[in-house]
Amino acid sequence: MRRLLFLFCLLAVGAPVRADVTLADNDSSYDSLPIQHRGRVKPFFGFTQEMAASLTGRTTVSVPEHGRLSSRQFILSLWQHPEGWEEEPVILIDNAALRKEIGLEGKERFHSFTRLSTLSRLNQLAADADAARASGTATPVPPLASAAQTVRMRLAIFSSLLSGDAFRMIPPPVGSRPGAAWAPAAFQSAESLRNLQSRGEFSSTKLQAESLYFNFHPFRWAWVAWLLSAVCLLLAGHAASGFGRRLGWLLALAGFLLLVGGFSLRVWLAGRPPVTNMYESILWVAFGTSLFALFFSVRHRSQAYLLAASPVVILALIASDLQPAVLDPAMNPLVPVLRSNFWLTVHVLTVTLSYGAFALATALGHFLVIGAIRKNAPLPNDDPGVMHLYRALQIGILLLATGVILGGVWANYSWGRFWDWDPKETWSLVALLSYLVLLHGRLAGWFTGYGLAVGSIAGFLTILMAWYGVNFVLGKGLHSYGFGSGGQSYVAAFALAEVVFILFALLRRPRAVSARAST
Amino acid sequence: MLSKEARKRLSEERCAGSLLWRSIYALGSLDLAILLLLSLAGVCAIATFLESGFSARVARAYVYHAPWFNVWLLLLGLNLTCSAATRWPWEKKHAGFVITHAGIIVLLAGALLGRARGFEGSVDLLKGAPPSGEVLLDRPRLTVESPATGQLFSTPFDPEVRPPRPDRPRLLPLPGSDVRLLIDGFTRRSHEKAVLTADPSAGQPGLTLELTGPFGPEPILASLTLGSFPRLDLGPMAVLEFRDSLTKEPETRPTFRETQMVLAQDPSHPILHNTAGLSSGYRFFVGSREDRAPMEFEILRPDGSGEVYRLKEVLGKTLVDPDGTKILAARYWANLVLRDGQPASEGDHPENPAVLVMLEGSVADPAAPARLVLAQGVTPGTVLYRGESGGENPVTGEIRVGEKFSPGWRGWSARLLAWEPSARIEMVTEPLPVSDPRPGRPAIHARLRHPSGQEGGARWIASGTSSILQTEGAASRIGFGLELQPLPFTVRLDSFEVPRDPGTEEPSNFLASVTFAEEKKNLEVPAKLQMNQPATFPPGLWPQITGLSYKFSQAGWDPQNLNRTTLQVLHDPGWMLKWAGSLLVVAGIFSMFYLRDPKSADA
Repeated sequence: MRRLLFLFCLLAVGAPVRADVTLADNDSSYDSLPIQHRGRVKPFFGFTQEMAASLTGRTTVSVPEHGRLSSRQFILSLWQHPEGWEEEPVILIDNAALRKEIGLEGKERFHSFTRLSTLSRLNQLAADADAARASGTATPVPPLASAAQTVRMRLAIFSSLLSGDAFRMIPPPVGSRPGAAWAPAAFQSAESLRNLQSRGEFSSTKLQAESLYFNFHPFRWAWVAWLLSAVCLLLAGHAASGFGRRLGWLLALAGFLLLVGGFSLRVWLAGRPPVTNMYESILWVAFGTSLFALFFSVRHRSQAYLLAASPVVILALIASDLQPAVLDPAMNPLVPVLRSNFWLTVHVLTVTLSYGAFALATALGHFLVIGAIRKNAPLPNDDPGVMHLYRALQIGILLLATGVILGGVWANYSWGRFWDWDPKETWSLVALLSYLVLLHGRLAGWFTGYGLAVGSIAGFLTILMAWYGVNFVLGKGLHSYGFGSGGQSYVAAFALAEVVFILFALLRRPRAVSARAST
Repeated sequence: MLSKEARKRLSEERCAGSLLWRSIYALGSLDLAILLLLSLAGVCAIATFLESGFSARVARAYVYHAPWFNVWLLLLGLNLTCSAATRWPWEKKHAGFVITHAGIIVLLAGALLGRARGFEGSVDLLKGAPPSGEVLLDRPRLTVESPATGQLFSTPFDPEVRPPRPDRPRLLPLPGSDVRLLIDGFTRRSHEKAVLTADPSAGQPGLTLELTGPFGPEPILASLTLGSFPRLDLGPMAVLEFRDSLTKEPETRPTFRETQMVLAQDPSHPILHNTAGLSSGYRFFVGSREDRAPMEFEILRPDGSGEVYRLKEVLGKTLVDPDGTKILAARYWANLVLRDGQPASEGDHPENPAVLVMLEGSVADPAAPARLVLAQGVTPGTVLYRGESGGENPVTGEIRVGEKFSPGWRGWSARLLAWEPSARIEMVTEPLPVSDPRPGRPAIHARLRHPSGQEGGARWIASGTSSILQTEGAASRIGFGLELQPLPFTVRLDSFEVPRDPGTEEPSNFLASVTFAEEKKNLEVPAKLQMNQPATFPPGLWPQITGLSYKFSQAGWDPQNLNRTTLQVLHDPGWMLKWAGSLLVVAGIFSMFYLRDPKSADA
């Protein structure tokens, strides 16, 4: 009632005086309570993380005059004391062009619900996007309109939190039809909620495991372990066998095991393989890179693999850790076409594993090129570094070819046709062809180890296009459930830096190469 | 086993002796292979941008399905074959190389066979509709009738690839005549519009309204006649009606019975039961202003109005609201407790006051479309209207031609554009404005052109329809639409279900039961299919292995009509070759990389 009255007052007064908000206790006893959200029963803590990330792009929320709040305290406050929150600037608009378009001056990225709700241009843009989507695939949705839709979705989430509608924590009575909606709960103590929920149908083991998963951050610890490993290996230097090297290897292994553990937990919790969005695919690439690095480092007794893999693994895991708005860590149910499908899982995992191998190759490529330029010495084909690189490329090509073909098998099985020149298919083929050119070019004597190293860097750009570009830049085709937005500037900057590096490497290539090639 | 030198000598001998060998060596050269791979990669990359910038059709027409691309692939196949031939006699170390190359050749052969003899299309099935024996292919065609003989001719015509424009028209000859067909416009979305035409013989009044909505500045024109065209749906959300009079139809609003157990201590959570499944929106409060003051009972209506009564005065009496809702405060408990599952009062002191309220009435259906009803006014030339949307109060009034009014729908305004005492409606195809969110069909803009330069009237022809075009002395029926591929059997939809994710409206699967029937063989085969689990016909291993079967997979659904589903139909005689080729490629690469003696690296 208080909530209702309050909303009445708000409507009546129009522009209320900015009232300070009241914070709820940061009470962790709610963490493992079940809540129905987006078609799944999940622990409350996971829900708060997801909500905070969707609204603010971060899992901790900065509130003026109150500092940083954990997602738990933020969401509990919205629930317990909704008064005044619509005046707090906590809703993210990261697109500067959109801010300008809808009339928000300045660089402030966070704005209040009231402020944003009154902007008619925002609604209009979002309505444009609706119209464009409704009119079919032929009309592309303008990026600004698409961004406006995201902001409107944030407003809807915020309003469902303020009204209490989002807190669907009361299970339907026993005997309701399966999959019935849960009812929203008024704020009350965790204990009384637990009593209300005693008859719901959900697995409390899974809920506890899921809140552990969200609290523990296995992937964060994994990159920390890899970082420490890289430090150890660098400090150990070229010592043939030493404590530092062994420790470095063990730390890398620990990071790998954390990755495997977190991943297995996620698969078990979501009840499906991790094959659906950019977040999961980045984790899987990190997994692939570290797997191959560890395997090769044992098989061929070389630390180079681990050193090369560490920047890839660390960057990938940090990105997935820090960008929840772009790389959505939520475990949402899949669209039907992606469900219970063996071939789908196998082809995605195979292709993405090949990305991991190619990431390792491109990292090795960088080290080789920089080393060769510094020493101004050519890289013959039998240089140990080139052999390392060649092995990484081999496994990548085998996996990519297998994955592309398995993709055809899946398409044949699920859609009917084997190959349809879908952009994702086509770019995977382009990447595969590029790497084949690389191997054949060396075979034909067009270049030697140095060319192979530069080529493996260039080749990764095609992988980047197939992996990220198709979904985030081209935005068309059958793999539409993987489409997203965000991060373009980072990826573009990376690609540009790589192109510059390739040009630099070609200009500064050790001159003796040509003499060497003719022998 | 031949040594490197021996092989080199062998190849020199071959080339010296025969032109055939020389060309085999040239065509199978590694340099050519690299150039082919590189150009193929580049072209494919460009094509994806073509697809992103224009459409998949454009990319297909100009690259993937273009003849030169096929030639390119054939050249690649030739290069692979020749390079394998140059390694002759093959040794064990060549195994991976030969298997891989053979795999790619088999794969390409399968693709070509599938392209030449197979097809891919879709079939729309409706529960209860007669079985379908045709598949719609994604290949637009133009069907023209010869003005001289009346014979029908059909030709592939894809306006999406190079859309015809007024400054870039396409001219097509009409067989058996020197009249030509001129196509100078294309739209992806068209609709059939009703146009009001004065017609003294029609005998029914008609009108045209101009509606400006929240979608954009471009108004929507709507024409209605009393009798043959009295109703127009503007999407699922709004309806226009032209009637004899404005009098309300008999009540069709859903009725409900509702009970609310109102607790003084927790007024925001009454225990509520409603027969209609939706809440009446009424709220009640019970309590006393101060200790020992009389209990009061407050009614708060959905529209925000309300009154406060003394509970004693209204208890057991039925109050009737202006809209007919009956409210009865049926029972009162001063101190509500549950005894054996039944409510009871423990003492008379108001510790936990509660009132049982019973409601009976009708609610505005929130899903009901907004409505604008029009009727002929008493004075000739005037029109009466009543607009209603959701539960809001209706607006009524009288208007004349040219006058603006509000239909009572949020964000909309209307104007009476035309009024005819006797009129009929003509259906005309027209492109939809960009701001109009309704779906539409592709259409082309066409006319006939006489050799003398004289042109007939132009028309929009929507996909799946035909229209008669005329010019001086000649007329021809022109049809535009997707190609239909007959099937040697029929398929019928028996049932279709869409289960949902828990607590949401998101579909979790699509389950369809169909029956395949082949009349000639007197065969009826039921089959089930769901997402990712297609059904094939004819059944059995042999038709499937040979690729002679037809595969039906779930492809699309209509949230508005759950009796309808779209299946994708595939017939691909080349699939076995594709799978076999794939297997060979993977096995070949594997053996090349990992099963070979690393010392003999360069084959």
